[in-house]
Amino acid sequence: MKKFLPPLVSLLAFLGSQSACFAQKYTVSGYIKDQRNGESLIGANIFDKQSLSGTSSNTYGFYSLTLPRDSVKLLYTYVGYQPLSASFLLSKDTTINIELSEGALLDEVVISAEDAEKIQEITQMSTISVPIEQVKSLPAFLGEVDVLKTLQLLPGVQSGNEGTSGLYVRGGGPDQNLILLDGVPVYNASHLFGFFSVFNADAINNVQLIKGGFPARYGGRLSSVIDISMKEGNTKKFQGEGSIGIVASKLTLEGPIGNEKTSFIISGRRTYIDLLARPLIQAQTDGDEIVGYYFYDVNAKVNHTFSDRDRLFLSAYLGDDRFFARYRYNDVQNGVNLQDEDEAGLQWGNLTSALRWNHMFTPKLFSNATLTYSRYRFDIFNEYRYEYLEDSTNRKRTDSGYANYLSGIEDYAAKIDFDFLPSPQHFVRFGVSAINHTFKPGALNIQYEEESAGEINTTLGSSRTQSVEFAAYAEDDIEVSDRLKINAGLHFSAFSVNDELYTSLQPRIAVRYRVNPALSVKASYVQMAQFIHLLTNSGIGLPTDLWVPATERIRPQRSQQAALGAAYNWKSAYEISLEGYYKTMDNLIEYREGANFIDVNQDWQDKVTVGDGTSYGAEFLVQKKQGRTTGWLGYTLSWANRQFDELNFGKRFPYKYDRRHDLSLAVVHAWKERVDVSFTWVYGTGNAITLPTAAYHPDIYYYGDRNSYRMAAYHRLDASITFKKKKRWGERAWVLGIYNAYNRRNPFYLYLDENREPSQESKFRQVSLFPVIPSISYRFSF
Amino acid sequence: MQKLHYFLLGLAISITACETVVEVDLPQEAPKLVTHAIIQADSTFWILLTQSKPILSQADIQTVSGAEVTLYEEETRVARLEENEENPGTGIYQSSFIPTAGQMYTLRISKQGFESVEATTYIQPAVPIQHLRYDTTQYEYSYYDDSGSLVTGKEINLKEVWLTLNDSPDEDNFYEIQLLQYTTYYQGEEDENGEYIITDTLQRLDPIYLRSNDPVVADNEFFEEDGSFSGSSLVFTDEIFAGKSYTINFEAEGFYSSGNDGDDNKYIVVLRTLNDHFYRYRESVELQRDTEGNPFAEPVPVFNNIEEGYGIFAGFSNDTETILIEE
Repeated sequence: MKKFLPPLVSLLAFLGSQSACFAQKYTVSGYIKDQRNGESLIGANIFDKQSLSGTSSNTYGFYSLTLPRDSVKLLYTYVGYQPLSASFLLSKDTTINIELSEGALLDEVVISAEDAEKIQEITQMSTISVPIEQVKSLPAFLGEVDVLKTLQLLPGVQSGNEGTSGLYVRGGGPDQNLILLDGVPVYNASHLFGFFSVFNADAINNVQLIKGGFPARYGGRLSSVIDISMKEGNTKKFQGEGSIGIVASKLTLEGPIGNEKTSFIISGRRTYIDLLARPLIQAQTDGDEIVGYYFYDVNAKVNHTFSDRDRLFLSAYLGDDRFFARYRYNDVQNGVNLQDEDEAGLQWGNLTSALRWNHMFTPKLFSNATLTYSRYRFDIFNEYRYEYLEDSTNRKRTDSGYANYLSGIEDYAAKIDFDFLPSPQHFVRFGVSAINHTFKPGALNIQYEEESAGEINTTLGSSRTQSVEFAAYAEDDIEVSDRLKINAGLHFSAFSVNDELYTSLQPRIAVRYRVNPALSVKASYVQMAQFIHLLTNSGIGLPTDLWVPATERIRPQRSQQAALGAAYNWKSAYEISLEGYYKTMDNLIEYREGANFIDVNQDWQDKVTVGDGTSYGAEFLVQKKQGRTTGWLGYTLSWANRQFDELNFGKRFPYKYDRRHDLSLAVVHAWKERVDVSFTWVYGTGNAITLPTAAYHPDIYYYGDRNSYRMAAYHRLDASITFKKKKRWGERAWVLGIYNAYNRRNPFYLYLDENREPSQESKFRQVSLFPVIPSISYRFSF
Repeated sequence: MQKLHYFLLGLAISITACETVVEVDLPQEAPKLVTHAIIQADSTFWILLTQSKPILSQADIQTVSGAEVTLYEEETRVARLEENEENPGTGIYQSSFIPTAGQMYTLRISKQGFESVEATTYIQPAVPIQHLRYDTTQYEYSYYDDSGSLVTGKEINLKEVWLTLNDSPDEDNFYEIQLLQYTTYYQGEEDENGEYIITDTLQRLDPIYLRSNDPVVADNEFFEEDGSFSGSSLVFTDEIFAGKSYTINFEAEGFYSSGNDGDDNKYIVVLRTLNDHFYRYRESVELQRDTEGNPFAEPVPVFNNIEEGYGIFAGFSNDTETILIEE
């Protein structure tokens, strides 16, 4: 059943730039948006049933299709939305801005294979988009919806330790993910050791994960691209949504400013355990002490449409984690009032901002210019002020001091990207970018002023490093024949640090061959380079993780990846893909054995050692995107190894997150009209760890090969049920969730317990982190 | 600083974490010979021979008796080490052989029931103490003697030392500095009346605690009270002064009085030139201990140069100078 609903169409066709020459072909272009709120629909498909050619919309919802002068029958489709068609005689360049409306959830929306660009049609492989509504429908840890944790459920993506949001894509490290928020790299995506990620799902429009076969427009990281687009703000009406959970509450407001030309969105989130605990702690300590932890983040964006040719966006993200302890004590000695104060804290966070200008030069040439600023900083401080009486004179004296440790990275960047669509057979993208990085790898500042001991003011290890990263790319999505499509491109990048200049020319190619309308085979080969390294000495997302540049001694990371796969569309309902990959990585860094991460006097380059990695495996994914029951099943079989001359005596060893089997199942089911249920189940081979096997004089442990022992397998079931109800003011939903439903004691780490009677044996003890945890949250929208 | 992390993380874990004992299927390996052999140029030496045990065993370390222990100098057999006859079963083997600096030594040990082990090490020639300078401090004391009368006096003690050495440019060098002083130990027994009677006095050279802010040893623990290092010896590399002359500064920490034996103000400064095996072994042992108990740190393997066994065979050479403080 095909539904064409002309009344819902707001179809604007008007004169484009009239070409005077004798042209056989004309271009249809425009923007595709959500009828409800005016948000851009990214990756929507446009297909001409007459000429059997098509295209899809870009990140800004823009599309362009050049067709012969003829009668055309365009079909606009987007997953989960009602398709629309437009038939007319194409006799001049035409602009059609179209708005699609969401398909009623319980209706069976059936689209035949020829209608939409399906998995078997796309050239790009190793790429998965997860609709944000699906992210929000899945069970969430403590009720906090988390985009990165949803990505962990996809094949080829391993999670790190229990509960954390780090991503380990195809054997790569957490530093090798290019996490883009509206095109701006986010350096540390973790709140609270990675138990939560920094992305607030309410502010997000679209999430795309690329694991391999990277198009030439992306560069700078080895293992993945996570492209997150923020919402633009409802252009139709003012609306809001929010939630109150056990960990955090959030509120999002959006709407037009003035007319439909301008809209905004602002979204905020904050945890509030500290606020609830504050009176308790004060009561416990007679009001002398305050201890707390919280994180918050704010997303904001405004955009203005000047015309169909020009549009301006300004977006920003700000988030911080703060841990603080304050102590205040009053005392009276010899009739003199004395006060002691001591405050210590730890805070870290990201700030990103972007100003973007979309400009359509001609219906075939679209451009996007971006200026961005971003920074990540980590800061520890301790400040004190003590008052005391001098013994002899009974005079009041004061000692005060301040110490502060600061590290971080700061970027200024400019880039311009072009989409050029000369004909349905070509989709050309090209552009250039430049980033100025300032690395601040740890500076310690100590000041004190003591009436007893004098003054000091010193700064240690404050070596800043400036570097410039430059990139240029060109790629073309070429339709060679009806069956064969090729995406070929080149990415050039250069990195200048101190007096060193590194350059890299990276070929990228992806090929799709359609065997029959439902089945295609794909292959890709890419080279990647990464000019920055992450110093990290643990598997958890600690804020002390430090970004450092490639240097004369520590060269840039490089990788090569080849992938081969097949995509099959079964009954137009299930998208099935199978892929194999092989990847090599050079110049990876690890801490030397026993190195201390925060030693400010020692150069970080002396603390690390350089090595290589290889990984290979196979991934299987079945995805169902429409219907009452949606979700996916993913399975990964993989190997990931490392080899460092100075680690494990030069022998190759398994990567910490080498995971032989990884299975995940995610299901969302519209059970009743107002009740949704969902569950996820994950299974993964245990993490690789190093254990001692023997002991000898004098109390020395002998460790076997690095990472040669496997902890027990990890598996967990999460479930949630959502009760929705329409109210006068809007809609509300109660979400009941359960994490680790059957209370599996998953291993977090093992330790050797020697605290036993001499006659008994020692034991290895396994520490598990999260038992079964129920959660409840209340969501509302108006 | 790191403590803060563990505190935070500990907080998160303590709320929810639970523990279970797990059976860990570790490869079972037969006990191996463990050799602890540190040899010194121009001095006799002993070695300790023990055996390794499975990680879960709580039994004491077992010594090894009746082993065939031979020492080779550049492939020439120079000594056979014998078990100490007075204290059998201690695992201590010794000989009257005196190694010399600048030579390569190989130790071969075999014992029935174990795989034979072998280790080779080179004793680096001693880097001499080029120059020594020191400061003293005077301190007054008073106490009531047995008869109840007040005794007062003055004592001069060693405070600060500057030691200059000429690092050799050709190789990486590893040094250790100790400050030794004679300490008197009394041996005695109780008589019939319960009185303690001294039967013998022993003089022993003991290291004094040293404190140093010198950049070659300074410890950099963040937010530590101060950045100085203290311990019974200073161990450092030539990393920041390779091939050059360098003066290291240190202080004797506290005062040591060892009775009225006349040697109160005699100090012996020892500059040891360690070989790389000795340094790497000591560094890795220390690192292994530092990271022990931290579940998020990669464990540190200890440097081991005993083929088919465990332990260490390493050496050093000495240069010493005496400081005599005039009253």
